[in-house]
Amino acid sequence: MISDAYRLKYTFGVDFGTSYVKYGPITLNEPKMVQTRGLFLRDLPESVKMRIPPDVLARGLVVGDEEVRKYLSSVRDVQRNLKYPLKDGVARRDDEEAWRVLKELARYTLAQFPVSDPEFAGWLVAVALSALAPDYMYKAIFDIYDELANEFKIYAVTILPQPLAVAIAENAVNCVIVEGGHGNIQVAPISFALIREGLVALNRGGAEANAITREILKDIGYSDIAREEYAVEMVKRAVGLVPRRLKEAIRAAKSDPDRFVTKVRLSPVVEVEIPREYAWTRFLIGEIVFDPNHEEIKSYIEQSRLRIENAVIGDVTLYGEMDVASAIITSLRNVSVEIQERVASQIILSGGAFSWRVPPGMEDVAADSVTRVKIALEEKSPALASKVEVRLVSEPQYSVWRGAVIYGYALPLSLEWSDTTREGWRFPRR
Amino acid sequence: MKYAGEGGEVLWFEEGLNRVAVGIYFADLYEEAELYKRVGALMGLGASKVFLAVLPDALAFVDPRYFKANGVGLVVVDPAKGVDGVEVKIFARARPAAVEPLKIDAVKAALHEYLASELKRVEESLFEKVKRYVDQRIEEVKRALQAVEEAKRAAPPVQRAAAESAQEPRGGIGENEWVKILRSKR
Repeated sequence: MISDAYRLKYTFGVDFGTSYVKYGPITLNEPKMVQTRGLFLRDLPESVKMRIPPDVLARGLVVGDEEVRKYLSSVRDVQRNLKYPLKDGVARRDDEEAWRVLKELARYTLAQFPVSDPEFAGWLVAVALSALAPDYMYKAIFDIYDELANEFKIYAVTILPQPLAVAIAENAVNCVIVEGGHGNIQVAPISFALIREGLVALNRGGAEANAITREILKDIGYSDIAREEYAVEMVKRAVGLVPRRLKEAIRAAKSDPDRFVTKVRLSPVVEVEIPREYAWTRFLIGEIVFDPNHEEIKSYIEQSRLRIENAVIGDVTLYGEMDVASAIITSLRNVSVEIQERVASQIILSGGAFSWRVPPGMEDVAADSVTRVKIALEEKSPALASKVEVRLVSEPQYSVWRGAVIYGYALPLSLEWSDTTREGWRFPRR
Repeated sequence: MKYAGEGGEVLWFEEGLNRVAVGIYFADLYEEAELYKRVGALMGLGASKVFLAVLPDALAFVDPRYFKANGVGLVVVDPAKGVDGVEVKIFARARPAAVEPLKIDAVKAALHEYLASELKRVEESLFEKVKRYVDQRIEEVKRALQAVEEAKRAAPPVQRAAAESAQEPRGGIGENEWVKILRSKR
């Protein structure tokens, strides 16, 4: 018999994010994190092979930040052998290497927490996956934990979509979760459960902000720096601004460029300066995440320097050009009219693509994500805007994990997994 | 020089009767405006001497004439060199705001009062922690005993469920509305 006290000790949350896996038992204050990647130990010189523990060599693959770093220099073809299994939170069905990495990550996360308690009957594992994850991912994740049940004690496994986990962590029963990741933005309405019909996904995110930063750097004359993703990311964070309204912001920047001129030091020997004539482009970097439908951004697309287009993952279309406010409204339209108002009462932003700050003194033209979304909603639908509260999650990195462990703690064990409702527990075969 | 505490990003030291403030500004990316804003803030702290501690990367933005003219000191910290990496590049001048003896007494009294209250708070929190730990252990032992008794009695399922729900979940989870919603599913 599994008691509440037991579940408060042995519920284990795993959040499979595109860049990081956040994991650990419910007893932790903050989850542990490991990069979502694995290094295949191929093409190794014999001398290096001799130094690798036989069990690791047999598996042919390492995960874990330290472990990967340890072998990185020994592997000859890093590009081919370092595998990032998730793209937009989804692993392709036929990508065998990706699934091997995910299995290894599942093993790695459980192995970090050995239990010697004689009363330990197994972990209650709650896995959070992208809302875009198709059915085969659910099945494959269950299969992974089935196999791991031979190695670790696993009592039961459940899977929940990441936006639902955010809502649980935020204690919001009726809300719209807008999760802005590197590759995409997901808008998920929630009323006591995820409303799948209302899921709207955009094929934009932090990556597009990086892409436009890269083009701006090339225009200014920093083509060499623009090649390095790390440098582009640093420049984006340091100079990128979200405009309250793009046209007004650009006008302000063009009439008084000195106010927006800035410098970024990337290393002791490299400094990037955004000169007067390009100062206004700082606003494009933030704006592209929220709304790419502006002449200024379109000109980059027309010159084929940027690609913003629709994509399909599983059975979901990811819209390229739809702005965030329209996505929220479209999502709400697919929710039953009766509960629309309740669901719309809270709009919760989460994820790295929404972390923008306003430098002091620029409050008149620049905004943070919450303000930007509010302004856009006011423009598109004043009636809706007057009723909603937009806010940012309190712990952007950990809220999914926290929601997952609460879900694992509360979901009754009598509820068996159903493929139709995508709810319940799966009990591994022993 | 004696360490006297810290507040925000400022470390305080005592050098005789001088209060020395060392502002810390460590960043991956330095901004010139931010650097001088911090210097300005430090000068407004009312310390007898002020230093700004930065990483070597910030040196490109430092105008030594400005620092010297204002009597602000500069410490460069190179974490790669450990303790040897701390170097005072520009020495600070004592600032004119001399502290009157009367004020010193007042400061001493205030500091003493603050320390006493802080000490009391630490004591209380320690007591609270120990108490909580002991309570928790007692609770665990009780629960274990209860479980053994229950197994002996092999109570009917209804009673068992009631006993379980009586155990209050930890920190915050119990108040989460989702817990109630999920629990009602079957």
